[in-house]
Amino acid sequence: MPSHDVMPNMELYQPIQVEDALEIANRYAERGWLVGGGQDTYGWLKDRAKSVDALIDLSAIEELRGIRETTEGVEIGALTTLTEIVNSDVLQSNFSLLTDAAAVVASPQIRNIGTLGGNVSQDVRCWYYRRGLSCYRAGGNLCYADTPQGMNREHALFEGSRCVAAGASDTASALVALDASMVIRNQNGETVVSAEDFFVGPANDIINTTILRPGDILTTVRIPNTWAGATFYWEKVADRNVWDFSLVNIAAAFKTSDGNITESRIVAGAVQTTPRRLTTVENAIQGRPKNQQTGESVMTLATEGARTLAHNGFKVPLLQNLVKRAIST
Amino acid sequence: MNSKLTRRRFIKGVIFSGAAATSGAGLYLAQAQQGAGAAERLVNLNIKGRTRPVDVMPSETLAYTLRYKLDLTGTKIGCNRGECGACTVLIDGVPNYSCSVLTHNVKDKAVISIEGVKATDGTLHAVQQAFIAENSPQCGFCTPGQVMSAVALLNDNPNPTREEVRAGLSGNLCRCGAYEHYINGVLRASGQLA
Amino acid sequence: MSRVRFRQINALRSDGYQGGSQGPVTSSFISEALAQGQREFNWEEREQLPRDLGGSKRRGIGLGIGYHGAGGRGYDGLLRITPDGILQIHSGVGNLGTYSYASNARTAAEVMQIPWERTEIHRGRSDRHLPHSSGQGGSNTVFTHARTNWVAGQDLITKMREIAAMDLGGEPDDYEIGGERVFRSDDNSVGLTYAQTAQRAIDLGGKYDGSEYPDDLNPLTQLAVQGVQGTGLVGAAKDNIPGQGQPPGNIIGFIEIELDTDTGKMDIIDYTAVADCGTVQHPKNFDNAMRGGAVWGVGLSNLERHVYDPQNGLPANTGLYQSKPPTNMDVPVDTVSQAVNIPDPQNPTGGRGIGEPTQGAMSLLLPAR
Ligand SMILES: Cc1cc2nc3c(=O)[nH]c(=O)nc-3n(C[C@H](O)[C@H](O)[C@H](O)COP(=O)(O)OP(=O)(O)OC[C@H]3O[C@@H](n4cnc5c(N)ncnc54)[C@H](O)[C@@H]3O)c2cc1C
Ligand code: SF4
Ligand code: FES
Ligand code: FES
Repeated sequence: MPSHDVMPNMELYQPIQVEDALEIANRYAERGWLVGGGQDTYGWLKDRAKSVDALIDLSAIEELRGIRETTEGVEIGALTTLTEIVNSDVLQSNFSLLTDAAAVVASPQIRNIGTLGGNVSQDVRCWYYRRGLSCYRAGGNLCYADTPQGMNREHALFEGSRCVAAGASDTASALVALDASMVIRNQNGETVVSAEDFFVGPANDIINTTILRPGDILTTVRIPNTWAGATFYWEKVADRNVWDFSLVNIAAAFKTSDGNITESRIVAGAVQTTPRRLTTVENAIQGRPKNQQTGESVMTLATEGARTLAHNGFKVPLLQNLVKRAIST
Repeated sequence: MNSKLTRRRFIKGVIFSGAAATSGAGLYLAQAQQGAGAAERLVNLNIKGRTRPVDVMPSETLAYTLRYKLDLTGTKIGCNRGECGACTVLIDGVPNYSCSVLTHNVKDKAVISIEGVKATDGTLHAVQQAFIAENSPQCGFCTPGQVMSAVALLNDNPNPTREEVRAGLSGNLCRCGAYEHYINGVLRASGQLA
Repeated sequence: MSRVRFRQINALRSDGYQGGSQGPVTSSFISEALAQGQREFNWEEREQLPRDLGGSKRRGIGLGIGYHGAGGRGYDGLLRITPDGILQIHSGVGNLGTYSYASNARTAAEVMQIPWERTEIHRGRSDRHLPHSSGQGGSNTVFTHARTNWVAGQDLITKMREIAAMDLGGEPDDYEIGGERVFRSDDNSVGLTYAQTAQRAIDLGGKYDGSEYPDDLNPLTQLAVQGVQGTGLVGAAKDNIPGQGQPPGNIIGFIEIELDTDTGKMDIIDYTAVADCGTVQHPKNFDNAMRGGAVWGVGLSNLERHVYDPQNGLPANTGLYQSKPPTNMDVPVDTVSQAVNIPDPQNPTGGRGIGEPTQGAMSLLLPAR
C-alpha cells in the first residue's frame, strides 16, 4: 500500500453558502468530495486508496453550523463539531445519549474539528478496503474479509451481503435511538429521512453507507422531543480508550412508568454496516420492569440470526452483555 | 465556472491546482502568480502573531506548510493520519492535528505552533519549564504536541484535576510512555505540584 | 504459601545462576525487592480483599518479576583534562531519551571530584573522538560505562600523582586529589591544579598527553586517543575490573486491576514497582524508565498487535490506530516506583541497568487473580 505524506493535487472549493456548495457538488458529481472536518477524508487521499478531482470544503458555511432549539426538538447543523455537541447544554440535559456517544469518538483533537455530518457519513473501517484493495465495496468482485483466513475481528455479525464491513460511526447508533431525522439537500430541493433510513447496508447498496448521492449535502440533523430527558444508556467497547473504533456499542433510550418499560429504543453499533435497531428486544421488554432480571432474560434475543466469522465470535456475548447492561442499569 | 456565481458572493476560496503543475511545491509569491487562479493560492498566514504570505497548494496540510515552507520544524509529523498527536498546533486557541487540517482552512485564523509558545523575550512557557523540571520528555518526539495540548488546557482551565489533565492530553500518544511525567508537568505548571 | 513467598524462594539470588547457559550473576536482590514491594503495596491486606466486586466486576491482584541481562565488560573509557582545567568526557553511548550518556558521565566527574559544571561531554559523532562503547540498549550502559569512566578516571589520577611527584618531590602515593587539585596528603599546600597537570602533560608527552596508550585498547579507542593527542592530560583505559557474571536488571511489580467480565475491559487500579538495579544513578531518569517500561508492558501484554492476513500476505496494521500502542487513558498515571538501592559489588558506583525488565513486570496484569 503506497503511503504518501502529501495528498495529490486537486481543486479546492471553499463556498460560504449552501447553494454554491450544491452547485459545485452537482457539477463535480462523483469526482467531487465533500469535506466537513476532513478527518475521514485525508487518509483516503493520502493513501491513494481513493481519488477525486475536487475537494468541496463545507466548513466556511455558517448556516450549516450550530445547535438550535425548536418547538419540535433540537436542530444540529451538519457542520457542528463533535466538541460543540459534547459541550452543548441543551443536548447534555435532554439528549445525553448523543453527547455521551460524541464524547468518546476518536480523540480530543479529532472531535475539535470532526463534524457530526462527517461522523455519520464516514466510510467503513474494513482494513482491506481502506488499503485500497478492489473488493466488492470498492467496485470489485470479491470480499477479502469473509474468507476462512480473513482477519475479520472487527467485522459484522448481521446483514452481511457479500460485504461484511461494520459501521464505524459512534454517533449513528445514538441518532437512530433518538429517532433523529436527517435533512438532505441537493439542487432539486430538500428531503428529510429518518436516521434509520439514512444508513444503508450492502444488500441495498454495497458501495455507500448512507443514502447520500453525489450532489447531496446533509445539512441538518433533527432530534425530536420524543426522547427528551428519557433514561439513556450509552456504552462503547473498544480496545483502547482513545482513537479506537467500537468493537460493539450500544445506544438505548427508555421511558418507564412505575419502573416498567413503556417504550424503548435499543440500537447496537459496529455489528453490521448500519446501526442495528434491536426491535425484538424492544418488543420483549415492553411492559416489563427495567431491571437485571429482564435484561438477562432477553439478552440472547439480541444476537438471534448472527453469523459469526472466523475472528469476531466474541461480539456475540459482548452484544448480549451490553444489551443486558443497558436494560439493567 | 458557472457565470451566475459571482466570485464575491460565492467563494471564500477556489484554489486551483493548475499553477502547481508549472511551478511545483515549496515556492513563493513571485513565481506562483503566473499560473491561472494562482492568486488564490497565496495565503496570508497568521503564525505566532506574525502574518506571512505563503504559496499553498490546494490540498496542502498545515503541518506541511509549517515544516517545509515556513521552516517551523518544531511541529513533528509522527503518523500524518490523525493517530498520534505529534503535530498538534493551536488554531484560534483550539488544539488540532496540523497533519489533518488544510492550510487553506486557517487563512483567517491564528495559528500557534510550538515555536510560538515562549514569551517574546525567549522565556519558556510555564508548561515548558515544568516539563523540564519533571523530566517529562524522554525521546522528545511527542513533546511539542504535548506542550500544545497542555497550553490549550491550562488556558481553558488553569487548575485542572489530574483526571482533567489526563483527558486534555489524551489525544497525544507518547511511545516512550512518559504520560505520568507529562501529567505531573502540567500539574506543576498550574502551580499544583511544587 | 503466599505468592510472594513462593517467588522469594525461587527468585534469582546473588549466588544463583541465570539464563540458558546458567552463568553466575554479579548480585541479585529480588527477594529484597519483593519484601519492599509487598510492604509498599500492602500486599497482605489486599490479598484478603474480596475478588467479586458485584455485577460483572472482578478484582485481580497480581505480582510479577522482570529480568534482563543489564551490562557488559571490557569496553574503554576516554577522559581528558585540558589546560583550562575542564574535564572532557568522551562517550560513545547514544541517547534514546534516557540520557544514558550523561548519567554515566557523572561517574567520571565523581571520580575526579570535579563539579558537573566543570565538565564537558563529547558524544554523538565519531569525529569527536569517542571510545569504543556498548550499544545503548539492553539496559546496558549504566553498568558498562560507569565502569569505563571509572577506569579512565583512575588512569587520570595515577598520571596526575606521577606528574606531581615528578615536579614536587616524593612518591606518587604521597599525593591525593580534591578541589580540582592534586596535592600532598600530608601538606595540602603542596600541589598542582588540574589545569597545571594538563599543561605539564602536554609538555611531557608520552602516555601523559595520549601520544602513547595501552595496547589493550580497542582499535576504535586507539583512533580516538590519537585524535585528542597533545590536548591535555589523557586518561584512557580498558575496563579490566576483575569479577565475573552477568549483572541482572531486576524488577518486581504488584498490581491491582478491575476486570469487567461482560466486556473484557480492564482498569489498572494501582501499580507498584520496585527495581533491583543496584545504586540508582539518576533518580528522574530512573522513574522515566520504570514508568515508560510499564506503559510498554500494558501495550505488549494487552493491546498491541500485529495483524496479518496469511492467505493474501497482507499486513493489516499499517497505522497506529490498528497496532494500538497504549494511550494515556489505557495506563495507570499515578504509580509507585522505587528501588532496593543495594549497590552492585562489581560496579564501582554500584549501578546496574533497568530498562527492558520493566516491561516484563507489568505484563503481570494478565495472570492477576
Ligand atoms: C485515528 C482515528 C480514530 C477515529 N475514531 C473514531 C471513533 O472512535 N468513532 C467514530 O465515530 N469515528 C472515529 N473516527 C472517524 C472520523 O474521522 C470522525 O469521527 C469525524 O467525526 C469525521 O468527521 P469529519 O467532519 O472530519 O469527516 P470528513 O472527513 O469531513 O467527512 C467524512 C465523510 O462524510 C462526508 N461528508 C462530510 N460532511 C458531509 C455533509 N454535510 N453532507 C454530506 N456528506 C458529508 C464526506 O464527503 C466524507 O465522505 C476516527 C478517525 C481517525 C482518523
Ligand atoms: S468486508 Fe466489505 S469492505 Fe471489507 S473486504 Fe469485504 S467487501 Fe470489502
Ligand atoms: S502527525 Fe498528525 S496526528 Fe500524527
Ligand atoms: S517522549 Fe518519546 S514519544 Fe513521548
